[in-house]
Amino acid sequence: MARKIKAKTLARLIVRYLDDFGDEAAEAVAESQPDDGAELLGLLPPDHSWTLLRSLPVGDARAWLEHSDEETLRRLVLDAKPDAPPDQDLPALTRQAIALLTA
Amino acid sequence: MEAGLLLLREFLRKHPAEAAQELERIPTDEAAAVLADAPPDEGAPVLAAMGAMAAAEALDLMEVPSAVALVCRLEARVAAMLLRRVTLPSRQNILFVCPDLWKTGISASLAVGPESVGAVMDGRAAVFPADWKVRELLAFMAARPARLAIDVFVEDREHGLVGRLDLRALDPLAASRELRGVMAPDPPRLPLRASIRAVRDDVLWRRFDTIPVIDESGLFAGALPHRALRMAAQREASGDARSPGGAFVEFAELAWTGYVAAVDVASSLTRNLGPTREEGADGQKDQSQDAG
Repeated sequence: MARKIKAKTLARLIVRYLDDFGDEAAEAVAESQPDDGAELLGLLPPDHSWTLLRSLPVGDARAWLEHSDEETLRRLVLDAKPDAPPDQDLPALTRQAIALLTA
Repeated sequence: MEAGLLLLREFLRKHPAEAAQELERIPTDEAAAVLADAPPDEGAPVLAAMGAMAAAEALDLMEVPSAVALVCRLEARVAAMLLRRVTLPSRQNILFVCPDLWKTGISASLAVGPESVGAVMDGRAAVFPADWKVRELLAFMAARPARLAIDVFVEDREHGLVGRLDLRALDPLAASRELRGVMAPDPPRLPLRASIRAVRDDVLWRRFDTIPVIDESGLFAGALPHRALRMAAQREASGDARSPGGAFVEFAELAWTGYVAAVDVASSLTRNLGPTREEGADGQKDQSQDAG
């Protein structure tokens, strides 16, 4: 049976793509569904997630954040604002991530 | 992971050279999974751009249909170069499943005479891309102790031989340098099809224990250790042309030469279905005559 690609491997290759060809990569996923985008955010290191989010139209980036899970949002928020309270709930994290996106 | 896989596909399709550099630096089974998952038309250029060692290892780890789909899409000389490096079972499986490969003249590229350098060389000699760092090379070797080598060769991204390294002489402080900065450039090399007799007394053996071998298109094909020549000389002196103990021709290569001949015969038989029986009978007759 064919082996599946590990998430860690996929993340590493996408990080290289983003590092070298960020604008092109953002364009490639611009049409993705918010659920898929949110899943991608969960896969990537937070700094690369922010790079990607900021390359997208704000409406799309916001939708990706709104569909992200608590853990992903917490990593994103703490990466952008290390002094943020670590115990915020999902709605608070979503609001804060969107605020950081548009700041 | 839809969006992630989409990005991966884009990366492989649009930037095979950069993707290859990343794939050859991750565990080989993971690289094999990525290549096998990609559409073959997109995976093949990535495979071709990978360092020869990592690419051949990835092929070895793939299921045969995936490996075949990729190899069939490679330029014939690159396919031949990689097929020389994979294990004998992988090579046989790939060629058995992919008859189209024979139309590319690959059998001629792979077959070597028993008296040639190609018959006694080490077809899996260590070779690394010139843009690798010394520490990457050492980590790669450390993960494969069975393939540890002192003489290491350096290839460009088209798999041409560009340098050699003696790991014993490596400066420990050179770990972060690229191989192209520490290698001895443009090393002497031997042609794959040169006769053993012609190269046996070459003055190069006064300087090197192992000399790299290139094929007719200039691609790195392997390396010839001097001990292989010594064994050949012993074997010739004893007149023992076929004793396994003499090991004049490495068994795998001998088997391969025989396999190529067998497939060539089979190929010619299937091309002419009508006279197949007659040709088969002739073949048997020829064998019996040889034996006699």
